[in-house]
This record gives sequence, structure tokens and C-alpha cells, in this order.
Amino acid sequence: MMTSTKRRIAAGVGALLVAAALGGATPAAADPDNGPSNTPPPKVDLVLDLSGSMNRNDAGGETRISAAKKAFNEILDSLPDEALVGLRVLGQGNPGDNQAVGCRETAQLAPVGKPNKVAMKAAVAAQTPTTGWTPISLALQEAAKDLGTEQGSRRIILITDGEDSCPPTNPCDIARMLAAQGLSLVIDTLGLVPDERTRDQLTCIAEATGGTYTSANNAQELSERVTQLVDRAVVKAEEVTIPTTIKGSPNGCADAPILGPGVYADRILFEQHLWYKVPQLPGQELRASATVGIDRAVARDYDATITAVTEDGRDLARYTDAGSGRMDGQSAGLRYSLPGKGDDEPKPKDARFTCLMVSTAFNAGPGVPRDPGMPVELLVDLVAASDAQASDTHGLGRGWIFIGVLAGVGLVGGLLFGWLVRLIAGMRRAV
Amino acid sequence: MRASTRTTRRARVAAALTALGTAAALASAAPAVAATDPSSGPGNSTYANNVLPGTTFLTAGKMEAETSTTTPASTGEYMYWSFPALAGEDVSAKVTLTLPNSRTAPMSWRVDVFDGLRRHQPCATGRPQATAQPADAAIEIDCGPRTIRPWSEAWSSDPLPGTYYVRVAATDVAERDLGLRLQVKLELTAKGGGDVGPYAGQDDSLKAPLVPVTGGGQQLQPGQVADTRKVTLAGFDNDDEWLSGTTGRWVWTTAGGIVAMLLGVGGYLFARHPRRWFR
Repeated sequence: MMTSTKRRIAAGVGALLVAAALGGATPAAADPDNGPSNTPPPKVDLVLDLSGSMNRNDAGGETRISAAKKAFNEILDSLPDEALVGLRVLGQGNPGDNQAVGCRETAQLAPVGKPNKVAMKAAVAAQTPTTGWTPISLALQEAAKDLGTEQGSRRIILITDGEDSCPPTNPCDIARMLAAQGLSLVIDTLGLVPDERTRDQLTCIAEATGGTYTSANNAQELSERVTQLVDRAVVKAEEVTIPTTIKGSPNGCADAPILGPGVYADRILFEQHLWYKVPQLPGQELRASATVGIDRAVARDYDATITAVTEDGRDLARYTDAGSGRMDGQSAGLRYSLPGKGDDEPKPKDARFTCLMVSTAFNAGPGVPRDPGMPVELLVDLVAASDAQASDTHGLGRGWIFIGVLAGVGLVGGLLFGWLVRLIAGMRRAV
Repeated sequence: MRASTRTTRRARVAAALTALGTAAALASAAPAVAATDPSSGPGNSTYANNVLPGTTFLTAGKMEAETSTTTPASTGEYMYWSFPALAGEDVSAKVTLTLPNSRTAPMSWRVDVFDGLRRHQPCATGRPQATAQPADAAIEIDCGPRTIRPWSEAWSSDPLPGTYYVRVAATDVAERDLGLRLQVKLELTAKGGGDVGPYAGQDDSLKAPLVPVTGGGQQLQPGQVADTRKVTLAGFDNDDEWLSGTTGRWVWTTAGGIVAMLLGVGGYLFARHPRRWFR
């Protein structure tokens, strides 16, 4: 009782001081949990390699291309109706040794939208492998364009049997660049009877965009995997979280962006600090989590730290977690409660800024690109504050076992005392 | 008095009700899942109605405690699932990996459990990491974090009620063994659900469970503030319950004293004049 009264008074005084500093704030209209109601449904673009090597007869007793075609028929049959799926090929045409032409060969067979399964099947059936090159980088860039630029979940499923044969671009760098463009984009890769270099490149593309890599050796494996990937991608639009792209301040809290509750995406360079600030009302608890995605080959040990500080630099809460080895990301999260002031509804002018700093300790070899930075997913949430310290129980008890023990001791005490009195009375009578 | 061994009937009743509620929720959710499940294709009919893993925290496959799922996956893939858990529960995640037989080198796998703030939870029980030799057909890894508490200091990373994440990942895998097909079975268990921890009971409780925010954020203008988000979790109750807090402890203790006094007097009378009782 005493402590809570004291706390309330202290909070009230603090709030008064902050009120003077902030003044005239208005409540935001943002409703983070329902998000913008016009979230577009997830989109998938399938990209199929048609280059010459697809003619090889080593995909479970048939040529790679016929395995791919067979798989595509099954995939198209099992496409859920609500899926927005497009189809693109690369390396079609017969440019022969003309690399300049061959490296521009990519075409859209079906635009991203409700799939016209009959037309798509016919389009796939009509394709024959060629003497073509394998311009993966170009195909990925075009596929990203196919998916459009509206906010939403976007996924490319790349099916190829060979590495990019169009130097000098490395498709892995292209993939990382596409993922860093601010629109959520994931590339899943499938290697059809892959050799070592293909595997290297496809794993790198998947890692750079947070996608998955799978190798398939026959039509069944291929169709099973693609169907699963499409199933995963095609979820209800309202269940998709699209992080808002944000640019944290590397300089400090003063010019940091002001964030409301929700999910944000940013990029962090090695050895960079990213600052954000959140207006917090008395009685609100700030919850923040940051996940730094490991999208390139980094040194073995690393960590991520999230720190909450006041505007004048006092530490409020911090959390660091370290990781090591092969992993997809490193996360950290914290809670910080601003005590409420009595039962009064807090007013917007009582709000004060809590600064959030995300920092990392990552390192990488000289051949690993530093730019663009690693992806950061930041969650900011404001919920009802919990008590900052355990309440004083004054040594009092609680619960049925507690009552039972008291009752038992009382009963045994009474009985013993009764028998003692009887014994003494009996002895006295005997005397 | 410390309450670590105490289990109140109320808590048991609450736990039973929670279990009933969860069962009801599951029963009603199952047909809905089946109805919206698009996996009617020939490829994965064996895995229909199973919760597919996500590739990030945001896309984690949503499971319930005390359920299991089996799914095909690729070696090297990162798999995420999430499930809700309540105070007093000892949750654990057991993963059985049926590995492809064309492997060339040993392969290490790890299961990690994270709380709703994405803080890594140490495993109090289980063997979260294992290495499979090329000859091994399957390995099992499991992790049971510490008992979930009803409350903790804000700076501590003690497990609290809310959403939990399970991540299954290959931590060490040879380059040429990447992308092979394997089968993953995840079994979630949750035991207990009583009055636990040094701050048991309703003296202190978490006002909002650790259920992360979903939906893109919105940048605010200077002077704007955001509303407090109302967090909901099935079975989580932060209302001021009957006889809660310090006031509740006074009532419990006084009631205990009165009961002890009455039984003491009764016991005395019984022992002093037994014949009056058995006439």
C-alpha cells in the first residue's frame, strides 16, 4: 500500500515535468493490429530455366526438361484458386554462341495474377530447351518487376539446373540488392540435378533473401517442393505482415524517426548504430524486438543488442544475445514499463520519448560485400504496463494449503492440550 | 511465506478450465484449418492438415500447445513455428528429423525456443543439439525451457505467458548436403499449469502477455502518441481476481487464524471430554 502510493506520487511528479516539455500532443489514428486493410494478397512468380543443359537425360530416367514439364503440370493442378501466380522462363530462344543476345533471353509466359491453368500448361508444353545461355540475374530482376511495386508479400521460385552463365553479374549480389529495395521479396531456389557451382550460387541467392534452397533429382521431388513452397506463400492476405520500411538514424536519438506500434524493416551496416524513438505514456509498457538477418557469409561469432535509453542518455533497459555459426539471424528484445500515475487516464501531453538503439557485432571476410546493410526487422509495441517490482507481502500467506496447515496445527495443539489437561486432572483425582 | 510448493484448488480449476477451453478451441479450429488448407495437390496429400513451418518469426507456422506436425523440408532450411503458453506450464518441443540417406558428411541440428520478445530461452531440459553421422537414419532433438512464470522483473528474460517460437535449423552442414529432402516432426507438450514461482498468485501479474504485434508500423508526427494495444491470449486472465494482492493475503491469513482457533478449541473439547462426543 505504502509503496504504491509513493510510486504514484513519484510518477505524477515525473509526468508533470514531462508535460511541460511536450505539450499539445494528439492521439494517433494508427491501429497497428488491424493494419492497413488493403493488404494485397501474396504473389508468386515461377521462373524456369530452359537453357541447353535441361536436355540432359539424368532426372530420374527422363530429361531434365521433361521432368520439369511433368512437375509443372502437377504444380499447376494443385495451385490454390486464390493464389496470384505468374510464370517466366529464361534462356529460351536459340542464339547459339552469341552471348550478347543469349544473355538477354527471358520472357514472361503468364503475368502474375489468378492463374489460367489451361493456358499456362499449354505455354509450358510448347517450350523446348535451346542452345541458350542462363541469364539468372536478368531473369530475377525481370521477375521482381513482374511482381509489381505495390507493398505486399512477394516470392520468386527459381528453378534451374545451372549457374548464371552471363558474367560479370553475380546473381547473389543482384538478389541481395533486390531484397534491399524496400519491398518484401523472398527468393526460393530449386536446383535440378545441381552441380557444385550451381548449388553454391542458389544457396547464396536463398540466403541473401531469406528464402530456401532445395535440390530435386526428379519430377516428383520438384513438384512436391514447389507445391509446398506455393502453399506456404499463399496464406490469407490478412495474416500477412508487411513491415513498414524505415530508415533509423545512425547519429543518435535527436533526429531518429518517431515510431508507433508495428513491424518495421531497416538495413544495418557493420558497426552501425540505428536509433529510433517511441512516445511512451505513463502506464504503457514499451516492448521492442529486433532481428538482424544474416544474409551473407559472416565471421563465426556475432551478437545483436537492443537498448532503451531516455532522451538525455540514461540507460533504461538493454538486451544482448550472441550467436555463433551457421544461422539465419540474431534476435534481441526488451520491455520497459513507464509507471502509471494513479487511476487517471494519461493525457497525450504526459508522453515522453524512449529512444531505441539497435547495434550489432558482425564481421566478415574481405570478399564479402558490406553494402547494402544487413536486414533488420524491428517490432515496436505499446501495451499495458506491469508492476516494476514485486509487491510486498508483509509475510502474509495465501491459499488453501496455507489455511490447511494453520487448521492442522490448531487441531493438533487443541488435542494435545486437551489430553494434557485430562491427564493432569486424572492424576490429581488419583492423588 | 514462499509459495513454491503450493498448488491452490483455484489454480487447478483454472488450469482444468483452460485445458477445456483449449480443447474446445482446437475442436472448433480444426475444421476451419481443413477448410482453408489449400494443399489438395498430389504432391503433399500425406501432409495435409499439418502446420507448415515459416521461414521467419513473422511467418512462423501457428500451432497449439500439445499438438504435433509432420512436414517435408530441405536440409539447411530454417523452420519456425509458434504456439501460445501460459504461466505454470513446462513446455517442451521435441523434434524428430528423418534424414535423407544420400548424405556425405556429419550434419548438426539444433532446436531453439524463443519467447514473444524473440529472446532466446535456455533449455532447462532436453538435448537441443545433435550431430547425425551419414549412417544415421534419424535424430531427435528436444528443448524444454524453464517453467513459465506469471510475472518477472522487466529486465529479466524469465519465460512469461505469451507466444513462443520454435526454430529448427542445421547448424553445421556440408555444402554438398544442402537442399536434400528430409522429414521433420515437431511435438509440443505443456505440463502443469499451477501456482508457481516465488511471486505466485495474483500479488503480481503480467498485465499483457508477450504476444507480438502484427501489422506494419506507422511513423508518427511529433506530438502524436499511440494507443495502448489490448493484448489477448486464450486462457490468460489478468483481471483482479477474487482475493488478489496484499488485501487478499490479509484475508487469507485472518481466515486461516480463525479456522486454526476454532479447530484448536474443538480439539481441546474433544480431548478433554471424549465421552460427551460418543454417547
